[in-house]
Order: sequence, then C-alpha cells, then structure tokens
Amino acid sequence: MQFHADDFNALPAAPVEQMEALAPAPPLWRVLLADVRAVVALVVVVLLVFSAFAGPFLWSQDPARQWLSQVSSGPTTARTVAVVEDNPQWQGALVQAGQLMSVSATTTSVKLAWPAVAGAAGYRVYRAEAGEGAGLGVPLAQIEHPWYDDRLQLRERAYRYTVVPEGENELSRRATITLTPALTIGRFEAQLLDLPVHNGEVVLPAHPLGTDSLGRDMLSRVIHGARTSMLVGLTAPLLFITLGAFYGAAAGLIGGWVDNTLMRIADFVVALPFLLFMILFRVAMGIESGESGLFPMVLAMVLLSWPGAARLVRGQVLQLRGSAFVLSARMAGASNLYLIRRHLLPNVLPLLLVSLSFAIPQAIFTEALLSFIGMGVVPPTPSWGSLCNEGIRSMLTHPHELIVPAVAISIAVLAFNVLGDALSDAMDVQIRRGAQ
Amino acid sequence: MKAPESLLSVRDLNISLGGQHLVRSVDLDIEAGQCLALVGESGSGKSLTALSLMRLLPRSAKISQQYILFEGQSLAAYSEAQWRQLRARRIAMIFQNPMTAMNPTMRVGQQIAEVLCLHAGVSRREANRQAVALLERLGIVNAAQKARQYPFEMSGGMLQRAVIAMAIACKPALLIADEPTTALDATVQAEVLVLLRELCNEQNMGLLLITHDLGVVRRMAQKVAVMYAGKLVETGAISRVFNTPAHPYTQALKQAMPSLTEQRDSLMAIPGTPPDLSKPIAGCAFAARCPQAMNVCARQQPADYLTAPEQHAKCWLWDPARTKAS
Amino acid sequence: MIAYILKRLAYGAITIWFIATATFFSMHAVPGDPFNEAKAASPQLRQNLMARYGLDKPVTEQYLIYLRNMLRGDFGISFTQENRQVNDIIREHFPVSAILGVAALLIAATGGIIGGAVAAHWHNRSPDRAMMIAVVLAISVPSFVIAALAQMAIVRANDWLSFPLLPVAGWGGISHVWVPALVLGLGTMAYLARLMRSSMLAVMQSDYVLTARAKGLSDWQIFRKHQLRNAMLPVVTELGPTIAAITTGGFVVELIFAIPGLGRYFVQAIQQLDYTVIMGTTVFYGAFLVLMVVLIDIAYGLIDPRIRLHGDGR
Ligand SMILES: Nc1ncnc2c1ncn2[C@@H]1O[C@H](COP(=O)(O)OP(=O)(O)OP(=O)(O)O)[C@@H](O)[C@H]1O
Ligand SMILES: [Mg+2]
Repeated sequence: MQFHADDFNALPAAPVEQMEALAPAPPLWRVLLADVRAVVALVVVVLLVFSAFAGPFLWSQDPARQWLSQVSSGPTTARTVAVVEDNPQWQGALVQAGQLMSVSATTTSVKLAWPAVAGAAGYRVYRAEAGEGAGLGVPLAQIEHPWYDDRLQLRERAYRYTVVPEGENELSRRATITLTPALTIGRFEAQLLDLPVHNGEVVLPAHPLGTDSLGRDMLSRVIHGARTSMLVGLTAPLLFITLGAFYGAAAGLIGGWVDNTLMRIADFVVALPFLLFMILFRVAMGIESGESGLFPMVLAMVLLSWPGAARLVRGQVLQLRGSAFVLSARMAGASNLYLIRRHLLPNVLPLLLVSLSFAIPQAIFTEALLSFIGMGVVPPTPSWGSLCNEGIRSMLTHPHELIVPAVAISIAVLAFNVLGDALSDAMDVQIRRGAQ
Repeated sequence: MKAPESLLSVRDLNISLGGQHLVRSVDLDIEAGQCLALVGESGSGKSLTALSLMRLLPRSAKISQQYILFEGQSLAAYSEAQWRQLRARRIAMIFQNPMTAMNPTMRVGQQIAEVLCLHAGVSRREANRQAVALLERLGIVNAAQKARQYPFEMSGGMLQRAVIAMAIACKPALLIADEPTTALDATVQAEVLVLLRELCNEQNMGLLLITHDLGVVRRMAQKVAVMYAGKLVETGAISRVFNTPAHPYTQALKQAMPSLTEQRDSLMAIPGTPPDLSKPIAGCAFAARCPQAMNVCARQQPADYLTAPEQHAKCWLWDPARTKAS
Repeated sequence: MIAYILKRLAYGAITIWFIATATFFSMHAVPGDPFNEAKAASPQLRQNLMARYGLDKPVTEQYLIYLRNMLRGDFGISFTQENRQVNDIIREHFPVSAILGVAALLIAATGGIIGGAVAAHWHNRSPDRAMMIAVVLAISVPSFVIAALAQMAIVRANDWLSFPLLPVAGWGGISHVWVPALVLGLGTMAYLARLMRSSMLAVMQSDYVLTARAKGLSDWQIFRKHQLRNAMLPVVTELGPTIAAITTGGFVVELIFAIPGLGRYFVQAIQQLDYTVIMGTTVFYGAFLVLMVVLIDIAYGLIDPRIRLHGDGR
C-alpha cells in the first residue's frame, strides 16, 4: 500500500455535520404536497367546492326547467330544431293501398295512417323500441278509424309501430313500420320555455350529461345538487368538530368531576343510534315527509356527531397537561392562553383536520342516504341523494340518470377519503421525524 | 478442561437494509461452551448481526457472507425449511425485550410447550409437563400455576425466565442472548446471568451475548467483539481488550466508565454521533469522533491488525508504516 | 369477568333508558298534535283518540306510563293501523331484518378478515394494491347505488340467460338473501378489511412474531397460532359500530329490494307519521344495538385475556 507523507499527521477537526439529522421536521403541507395522491385529491376537492359554488354561474341552465321534447335523453350538443304546430285535430289522411304509412314523424307527434281493412271492428296500435326483441311493445290505443297520432313521450330514436286489425286473423293482417322521429319542438312548448323562434326554428341548448325523466338538464341538476351536498357536507362537520373541540378542551382544562360528567354525556350521545335519531329529530321538528329539511339535518348531525372530536381534544389536553414542558412553562409564568396557543393548538389542529377530512365524506354520505330514502332533501330541490332517488326509478331504461349523481357522490367521497388518508400519513411522517 | 471446538464461524458478513449498509464485513467465531460478548452503541447493528445468524432478518434485507459454518456445516445454501429445522433446535435466541417477545393472548406454558411439540415431537401433554419442569429449573416457584398465566400477569424477571425457557427448551448448541438483562433489576439480572453461565457449562453451549453493560461482559465472556457503525473495530480476549484496548473507540469506552467493577455504565458518553450509513464511508467510520484521527483515517478503511496475541483492531494506528514514519 | 359483564350490562341498561327518554321527549316536542283533520273529523272523535293513546294525561305521567310499558316490553298500538300492536309489527318484521343483517355481518366479517390478512401478507405487492383499490371504491360508493347496480346486474343477467338466475327483489328462500346481504355487507367488509390489514401489519412487525419465527414455526403455523387472534382484536371491537351500520344500512337495502323487514316498515312509519311505531322501533333498535355492543364487549373479553382477567384492561 502506498502512503502519502502526511497520512499519519493529525486529521483537522471535521465540521460537525452530524447535527443535520436533528433538523426540524418539515411542515405538514410540505410533506402533503410531496404525496401525489394527496395533490390529486386536493385538486379534485377544490374543483368540487368551486363548481358547487361557482358552477351555477358557469353552467346557467335552470335545473328545474323541463325540456319535454328531450325527456331522458343521453348527452346532446346544442342544436337547431324546427318548431311544429300543435295540431291535435288531425283527421288522418286517406291511404289508398299498400302498407302502414307514416305521414309525418317528429318527436312532437308521429302520425300514422293505413288502408282501412274491410270488416275490421277496430285497430290496435302498438309501439316498441327497435332492437328490443320481437314483441309488439306497448299498446298505445284501440281505435276505430284507420289513422293514429302518437304523442306519447317520443324520443329521438328508432321505433317500430304495429297495427293489428281487430276481429281478424291478427297475425296475417298486421302491418309494421320502423321509423325514427326527427327532433322537433311544439309551438306551445317553445312558448312555454320562452325560446326565441327564428324562421320556424329554435336553438335547443346542449345537455352534456343528458336529461332526466322529466326532461331536466342533468349537468345543471348535478351542479345544484353539489351545492346542497357540499353545504351539508362541509358545514355540519365544521360545526360539530368545532363544538366537540371546545367541549373537549373545556372538559380537559377544567378536569375533576366536571370532566367526568361531560365525558359520560359524550358516551351516551355516542351510544345513540345515529341514523334513527337523525330521522327522529326531523320528525320532532315537525317536518312532514315530502318537505325539504336541510336545517334539521345539519342540526341533527351536529347534535349527534361532536363526541369524537371532544374525546380527541380532551385526550390531547390531558396529555399536554401532564407533560414536563408545559409544567416548566407554567413555572416560568406562561399564561393559560399562551399555553393553548403555543402548545395545544399546534398539536390539536392537524388531528382535527384529519377528523374533518374523514367527517366530510361521512356527512355527504349521510345526506345522500337520508335524501335517498326521502328523509332529507326531497325531489324538487336537487341534491345528489335525491337525484339518485329519482334516477333509480328509471334505472333499467335510462341508467345514466342514476349513474351521474352516483359518480358525483363517489368522486367527492373518494377525494375526501384519500385526502384524509394522505393527511394522516403525512402526520405520521412528521411525528416520526419529530421523535428522532 | 477440553479444548474449545469451533461452533460457528462467519466471514465477511454484510447486511444492507433500506439502502443502508448496516453491517459491514463482520467476522465472528464462537466456540462451544464459551461466551462471546458483542458490545457497541445503540444502533450499531448488533441485533441485525444476531438475527442474521438465524436468518430472521426482515424480508427486504440483503445479506451476504463469504461463508457461514455451523457445527461443521455450511449454512449459506440452506433453504427456509432447513433453517426452520435449525431454529430453536440448534440455534436459539433470547430477544431484547421480554415484555413484547411473548404473545399477549397465549398462556406462557403453552408458548414454551409449542417449541417442544414442534421439535421434540412429544405430545401436547408431555410438552406442557416439560414446560413446567423448565420453568421450575429456572427457579420459578409454583411453576405449574405460572405456566397457566398470560404474559401480562407476570413480572419482567419472570417473563425473561419464560423467554429463556423457550430458548433453551430444545437444548440448542448455540444461544444468542440479545441484551437479556437490560429489562431487569439488578438482583434478577445477576440470577439470569448465573443461569446462562450454568447452561454454557452444563450443556457445552456456545453463547453470543449482546449487551451494553461492560460489567456483564467482564463477568460472563471469554472473548469480546466491539462493534461500531456496523463494523467490528476490535476483537479479542476479555483481559486483553479491557486492560489494553487497542482501538481508540474501545479506549474511549473504557475511559467513559470510571471503574469496570461499577455496574450499569452506558456506552453513550462519547461526544458526537455515529455516521450516516446510507452513504458509503471512505475511511474509518470512527474518524470524525476519534481524538487520534490522522489524515489517512478519513480516506481509507483500516485493515485488521493483530495488536497482541488474541487481540485484533481495525485502526491505522497499528499500521507498521506509521510506526516507521514516527 | 363477572364484574366486567355486570358493569357492561348496567351501562347498557342506562344507555337504553337514555335512548328511550330521548325518544320520548323528541316525539313530544313535535309541534301540533298527531291527529290532524284527516284522522279526527270531529272534536269528540279527537278526544276519544287522545284518550285511547293516553295523550290527555300530563306529560310526566305519560312518561312514567311509557317507561313502565317499555319495561314490560309493550310498545303500544299503531297510529295508522289501529288494531295492530307495535309489538306484533316488530315480531313479524324484525326476524326478516335479522336474517338479512346476520347474513350481511357474516359475509362482511369473513370477507374483511380474510381480505385484510391477504393484503397484509402480500404487503405492498399486487394483491395488496388490488385489495386496497377495491376497499377504497367500496367505501366511496353509497350502499343504495351498489344496491341499485346489483339489481340492474341481476335483471341483465336474467335477461341474458333467459331464465331467472336470482330473484330481483322480494323475500322468500335463500336465493333472496344472497345479493341483498352482500350489498349490505360490502361497505362494512371493506372497512373491516382495511382495519384487519393495518392491525395485521402491526402484528407482523411485533416481537412475538419474530419469537415465533425463531421457534422454527412455519408461516402458516405462525399465522394460525399467533397472528390471527391478536390481529382480530381491533376488528372485534369495531363490530359494535359495524352492527349499527348494517342495521341502518338495512333500511335502504330493504327498501330497494322490497324486503319486508323492520327497516322498511320504519321508513314507512315515518312517512305516515305513525308515532307509536316510530317510538317503538327507535327504542327497539336502540336497545338492540346497545345489547349487541354489550355482547361484543363481552366477546372481546373472552378473546383478550387482559380484559377477561382484569376487568378493565383497555
Ligand atoms: N427493520 C429495519 N428497517 C430499517 N432499518 C433497520 C431495521 N432494523 C434495524 N434497522 C437499523 O439498523 C441499525 C442497527 O440496528 P440494530 O437493531 O442492529 O442495532 P443494535 O446495535 O441492536 O442497537 P440496540 O443496542 O439499540 O439494540 C439501526 O440504525 C436501525 O435503525
Ligand atoms: Mg438491538
């Protein structure tokens, strides 16, 4: 081995770089922002809250307006359609020979006429959605004259009409036609909706998420629903966590028998079956079913959900009261207020933040569930739960009416849950670093 | 007294875990009926070394060695099933903390009997009987009743004995005791040590004793290995290492305690902190804290020097080139 | 142990009293009176009705009578169906809810425990990742949506197979229980799986598992003898809230699947403002849940020797 001349001379004193290990733990938000899922969840949450409050200005369609010509339609873009006269007094057209005839087919009315069958006592008209098997479909009418005007919830899709003469050998004589009505709007509806008519045409706005079974725009309903859901989902947890925090802090700071009594009360409140009492409160406040009860819902959540936060804060207060550094700070003459601000808050706030981010999805869920069973916000007011409630009725034919609000709930709940997870993970990291 | 036979020898043992090279090029030799003490600061890698001798390291750990010979067999290529046959039966371990080393929801007697059922192939009844006998042998009065208790019902000393009973149930050839006495008060500590001593003598069992307590080392061991930042910086016979420590770290240890007869002196009293093992270390790991550090120490790893009969140290101070230079 | 059980029971009894009282006074806070014009055409009829339901007495007396009747297990007569005892309604409909709930709980507990253990065993590898994604999804989708989707799936499957594989709704044989129970248990299963996973991970890191390995036990033996029981302890404590979640979740599932359980009846009673039925079912459910929590506490004591032997180890 080769040595240098000064190899065995004394090593100059090394800078004390080992102290780096004791650098203070990074702030919570820094740890949080390093976590990809936290960032994604945070963005989603911000977007949700933003769209709940600014959404109605960005997407200004009235959630209660009914586009009768576009009931239960899938996603559509804005389009120009003809205005047709409402003419219920159509007497049919004379059809000389041949097959079932369509005189005109629009979504306002499908006019059918066919050659009269000698000796037939009357005719039965059926309608089936094309592609739905070989059956006759819904019976529309039983009539005596050889024409029919169908105005029954027509949509822009292929229908198969069948006319069967009565009293005849039905199979041999029936006539069939398949047609797709063109999207139009009746003059009356156009007037009702206040749509400006140009050259006999009006512009129907886009429905990016389709419409519901009453022809209302789903996107605007989901946005307005978000307002309700977020309102309940954010205010109730904020209120009950604040209430719980003060309650727990009071119990912990006063101590003694007061603490004992307060926490016993908390134990009992926890034991109350949550959903039952939510419903009970609503009834107790004299809200009949079918009435919207946003306020009682929030109130019930607040009255029933505070003990968690109370226990948490009380635990922290007790822990701090016993800790050596608070004792020494107290001896050094620190005031209660100073101790709370300097030692209690920094310890408790992150914990409360985590419970908040788990309480919010819980509250959104509860609101949705109650609205779903008709015990919360009820149909005319949109909320995600009540939208689901409406959507489930037409689930088999138009699943999007259920799926759209359901996805909205899931995304919101998912985002808050993931955020909560990331937050508590970040806190674990901090605690571990801090303990080193 | 017959000549000590080699029980276990390991060469160039390296363990890395989570990007840290935690145990670096360790050589160990343990003889039957003898006790080797392994001392060093907290976090120096003693427990990892011990665990590696039973292949109990966390799954993510990477381990390599030049060879590992136990009772004349190479264990390097042993499969997990073979290791299972070895554990408790031939090599057993007493873990650091008796309070957490036992399953809290299982009766103590059952936990001891479990080993016997598994390795001695006896019936459960017989195993229970033997477990009680073991506890009795370890000086627990009313052992039959104690065996039916749960860990949380027992005192630390009692638990430690139960843990020892579990370890020696199958009369292993090598016992690894990881700080067997730190959780105990002084009197119980003395009893446990006497017991371990007896086991070595009676069953010709090799003992690897990990401890912080130099007093314990002196009473128990024939040889001692001093570990610093994952490396054995000095090994040798007790009398040599204690009387004329060769490595500045060992010297500092010795200085940190006023008298070796005084018990419970910690090894913590040396200024500075151990190096960060996640980065490679160019020279001697102790250089930054060493009062006698030289330029070469910061640059190059020292070799292993024979400083006296039965005493080795990894320190540049013992390099013949330096002796010539000065 | 006896002292522990007695203490739990006493505590449970006080809680039930608290629930009964809270229920009574919330119902008496209802503004107006329960007999509107539709039900009581004349003042005379109204008087008779008030007397029949004991509403003409002072509130304190009503409360005492109510408590006495509760103690005897008598919940009074329905408001809307005047010849029906609330007890009969409960007796008729609760077993249906109970069957559904027990099935859901069994599915949730087994699924959750197995799922959590599997995820922990393959920690940070693909089974774990897949499980955690499934868990997060199951926790994030409301039960009524899952119920609706399940129903939709059954309809589609039946259509596609062109014979009824599973009934879409209603109540009857075993085939009616399966899907609603699974739907009802799914959220809980996910929650328990997550809990089991983290407690299993903690157990896997514990010293006594290392000891067990040092004994030469195989992975399976360690799992069965040392890990399972310890990892299940936190899961068992959570079963109380779980039963509450399944019970109330049952309302919706019963509604959607048209199952004649007490939950559906309760929701109907609320819609019809049937006060005695609302009070009776609330107290009944409350008492039931409290009893379940007490039973679970006792079961926990049996599993965890620390509590069995020392009363209050927690
Ligand atoms: N599972 C693990 N994952 C990551 N690092 C680990 C793990 N186990 C141990 N270490 C690290 O390995 C180093 C050596 O640990 P080890 O337990 O061997 O120390 P020790 O000498 O036994 O200390 P003590 O005297 O405190 O028991 C420590 O720095 C520790 O942080
Ligand atoms: Mg150790």
